[in-house]
Amino acid sequence: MSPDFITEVRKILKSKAHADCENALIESIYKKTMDEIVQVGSTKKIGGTNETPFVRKRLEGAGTGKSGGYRLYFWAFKVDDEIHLLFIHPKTGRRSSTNITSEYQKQLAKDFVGLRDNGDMILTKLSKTKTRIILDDEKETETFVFP
Amino acid sequence: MSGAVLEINKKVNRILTQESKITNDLSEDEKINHFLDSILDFKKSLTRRTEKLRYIDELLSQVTWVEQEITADDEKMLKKLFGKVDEFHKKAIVYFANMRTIFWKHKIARQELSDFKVALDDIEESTLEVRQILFDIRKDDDFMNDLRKIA
Repeated sequence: MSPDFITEVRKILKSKAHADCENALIESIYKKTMDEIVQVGSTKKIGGTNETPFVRKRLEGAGTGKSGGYRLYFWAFKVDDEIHLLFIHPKTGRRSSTNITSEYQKQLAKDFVGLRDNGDMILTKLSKTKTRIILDDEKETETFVFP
Repeated sequence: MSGAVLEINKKVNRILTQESKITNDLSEDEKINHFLDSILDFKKSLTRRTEKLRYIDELLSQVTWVEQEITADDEKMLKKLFGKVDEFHKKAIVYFANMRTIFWKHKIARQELSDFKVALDDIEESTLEVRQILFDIRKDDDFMNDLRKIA
């Protein structure tokens, strides 16, 4: 996850209507295989190859079904089995937008180059209970990414 | 009067007479059943339309996964296609608005109408997005350079 992604999700989670955001990520990303993440549902390749695509994906919200949900932007590295989460926004509500601008999508790619080169992406994984996203820091105690 | 015209006259009259006879002969139960069947047919028709929209949405998404370079001819064809999808979407929105006006207040086919509207919104979103990806983002040299750094 990029640091900006974490900040954005924390802001989204402040809204009661989007309290399911972390859960939507868990169900649609953390509990899925690479092929399911990249190929299932409405996914569009913004750029890159089909092996390392920069993707936009629709996520269904837990409570809202198809009418609500989120729009997720990520980079997938199929060979390394890695997903790099870059940006998310809800479809409805105050932090929503139908779409982010072309410029912003280009900026996400540019920022990702810098973050990856500097080792600034934050490693995360699913908690033992599989209900929370935690830092993958190999510590005994679990640190929730979204407290 | 020719035999053919007479024959047509007879046929039309027969149909008209039968139609009115059918309506008049319906019992109250039959009328209600006929009405319920019509609602079911309407729901099925809406579901079919929604599935059609979802399929178009899926196909639009697939365009972005094509690995071959998009040629000038492809671009021309795709722009024409997006134009057709826009037209289809416009007509479907009018249809939705009309159907919603008639049925929503009576609480008929609400789920089907909602699903149809979501599919309509998704199509609108997809055409905007795919256009953005193919004709704007991927034509940006800086973006393509960044992609090369990442791959």
